[in-house]
Amino acid sequence: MSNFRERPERELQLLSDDELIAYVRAAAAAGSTDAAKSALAILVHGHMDNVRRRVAMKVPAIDADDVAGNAMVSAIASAFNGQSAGEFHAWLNRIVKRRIADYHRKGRLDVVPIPDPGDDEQWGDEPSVEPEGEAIDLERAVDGVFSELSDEHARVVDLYVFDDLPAAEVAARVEGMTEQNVHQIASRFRKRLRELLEEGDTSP
Amino acid sequence: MSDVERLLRDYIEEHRAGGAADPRAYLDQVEGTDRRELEALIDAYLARAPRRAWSAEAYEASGEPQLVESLSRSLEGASGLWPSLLPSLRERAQLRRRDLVERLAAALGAGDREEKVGAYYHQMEQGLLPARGVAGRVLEALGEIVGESAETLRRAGEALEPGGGQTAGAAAFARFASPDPQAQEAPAMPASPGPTGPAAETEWDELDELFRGG
Repeated sequence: MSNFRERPERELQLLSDDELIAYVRAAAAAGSTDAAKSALAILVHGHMDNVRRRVAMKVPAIDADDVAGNAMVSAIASAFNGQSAGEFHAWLNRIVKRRIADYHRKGRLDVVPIPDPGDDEQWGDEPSVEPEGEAIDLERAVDGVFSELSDEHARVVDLYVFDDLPAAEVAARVEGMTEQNVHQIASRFRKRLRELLEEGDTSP
Repeated sequence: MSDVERLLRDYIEEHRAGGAADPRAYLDQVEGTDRRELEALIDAYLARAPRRAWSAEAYEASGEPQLVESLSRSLEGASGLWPSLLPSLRERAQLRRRDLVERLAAALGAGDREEKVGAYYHQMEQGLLPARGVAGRVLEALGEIVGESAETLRRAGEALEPGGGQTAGAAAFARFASPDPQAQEAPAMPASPGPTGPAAETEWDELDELFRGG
């Protein structure tokens, strides 16, 4: 007899992404299709818009929805099958990046089989043709600059630049930090980012 | 405050307020390195943004239910990612299902048995047909029609364990199952593409071999 317990929607909303994946797996194994779908809906709805927005910045509008949809399906399917690496959200980000790269590499909408997370070789080369004259690996530029920061400074950038918190609040949250420090760290971050983008070199 | 900083702040504000937050509308306001910097920052922000709160209304109004439906069939079916992949490939090729079936039947030399080919193709899209049983010849013909390699179709079909590990059950279900007329968009399909019962395996015709014999 299955130990699976179907959960109401209000409980599912409180689960993390990885807990939702585990729930989908348990529901599928128990043959509870509707329960699996409820959890999938929350997971897809929670991330689809942002995936679509990210793809839309780099892929022509006519194909953006399909590329975004393919990325979501691939990420969830591989997570469901235990083929993903790390937390689901980070895995999804990786898949989105790769689907965009594959789109530009092949010059058309395409579907790539679920990757072996340990085998980066099978992804193939980065695209040799940059769409519209712009490099697509801007995420690498941000990651590159982040890798140069101390943990403390990275936290400041996260809170001030990406969480958009006031400098005073960031300073209050990070021990030993002042508002002036926060502004300086953010300014240096953006300056370094622009240096990498202007050089066309996205590696740190 | 620079233009990039201002636009990033405005974007984050709109995004958090639940607005459309289309990045392109913001990117179009800057050029050159400013544009690339803004794109990098918006992308990094979106990559970090937490999961959106559930809204049944917004969900139903979006295209997400269809994606969840096909994903559910993929995860619980016997055909890997075909329920998600095949409809999107068909749409990309701008083919109605009956047109695809007609072309597939002709390519397989079964132009006079379109109904049976259609029933099998329906099972592929519904996740009811074990991918391992489908012959390379079918995938090559299908790939030609939808513009995808047979190898990619094969790997997508075998991408997931069928039925969450219930391999034997899924295979048996696929052998004896009848396509559900209620669940299809195409005109009525035959009740079952092939004969049923253990003894029926020896009565398979060429199409049964192509779609189930591997």
